[in-house]
Amino acid sequence: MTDRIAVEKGILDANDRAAADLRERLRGGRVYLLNLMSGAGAGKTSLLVQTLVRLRGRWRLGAVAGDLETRRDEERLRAAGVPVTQINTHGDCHLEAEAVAGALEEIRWRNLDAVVVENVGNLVCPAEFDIGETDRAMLLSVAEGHDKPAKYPLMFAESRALVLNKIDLLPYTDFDEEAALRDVRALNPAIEVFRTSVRTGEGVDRWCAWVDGRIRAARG
Amino acid sequence: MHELAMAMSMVRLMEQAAEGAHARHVNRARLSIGELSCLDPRALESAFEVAAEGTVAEGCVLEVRRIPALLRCRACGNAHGGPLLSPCPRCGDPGAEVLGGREFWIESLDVDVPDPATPLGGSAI
Repeated sequence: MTDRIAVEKGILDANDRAAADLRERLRGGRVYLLNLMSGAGAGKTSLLVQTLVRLRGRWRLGAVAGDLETRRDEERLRAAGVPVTQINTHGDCHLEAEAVAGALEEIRWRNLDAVVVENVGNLVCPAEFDIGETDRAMLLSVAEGHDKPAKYPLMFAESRALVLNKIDLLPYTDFDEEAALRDVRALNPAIEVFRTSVRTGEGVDRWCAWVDGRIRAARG
Repeated sequence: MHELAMAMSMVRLMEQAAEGAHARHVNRARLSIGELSCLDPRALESAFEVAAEGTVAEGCVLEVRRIPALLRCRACGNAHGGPLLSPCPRCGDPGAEVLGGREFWIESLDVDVPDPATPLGGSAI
């Protein structure tokens, strides 16, 4: 015979639970976790290398790189001289809490002050998945267009910080900074905005100072 | 974009629920999917067909209820529909908080359970 059973469960509940569990453990260990997101090619790895190099003297840092394939980001991040591991999703367009928790174990997160997770390059899906992070930050490069906040609102709405990268390319693009930031602030009035060029170094110090402050706040 | 992974999560949830109810098969699943969730229900259905093969949910019919976006204007507090960044119908401000529209839920399942008149594995005398 047929029976109707009430389920009333969110399909992402399993990930949410894993993320909450990880968040709890990170808090207990006073380790700061930054979830760094962006579309593909916005400059996450480059910015992260600079960030790790500048802050590794003050904090015990680690990094986790997420990509569908290759260990190229891991190699680049390793050059910053911190423990790094790579997650290859082989098709999954985002990272989830369970995989991140496993990667953190690999780099022995309990001996660290802060870890940055470089999420899969994708403006859509990573925003939907809690990975237990303390903060979410994202990059948008000026070459991607000022209409991206409107087209991909969730990631902008959920990030604590936005790094507007590749500003050295502004003269070669039609990027309308005012329009982009207007949309960003409508989605997320409290978001902190950093203008950077990792190539020239402009603005990178200010971004690193923010990360430094967030690590300090997390460690009480 | 990740409908297959989502479909696999759905199948896992259905397997758990079916086990709890001693059910042999899941015939129908009622889902709530919010307008703002990054999921295409048609792609989800196709992915689900694949993910459910060989499981207790094989052949299960998906019934999807779309939940509209519910936004609250940051400027004037007016509740209105989506999408995000759409101007508030009352004051025109595009800024809004999301109150609803991001749901992705299994609400209920119709399952086949053993007939209570027949003891499990035995025959009535």
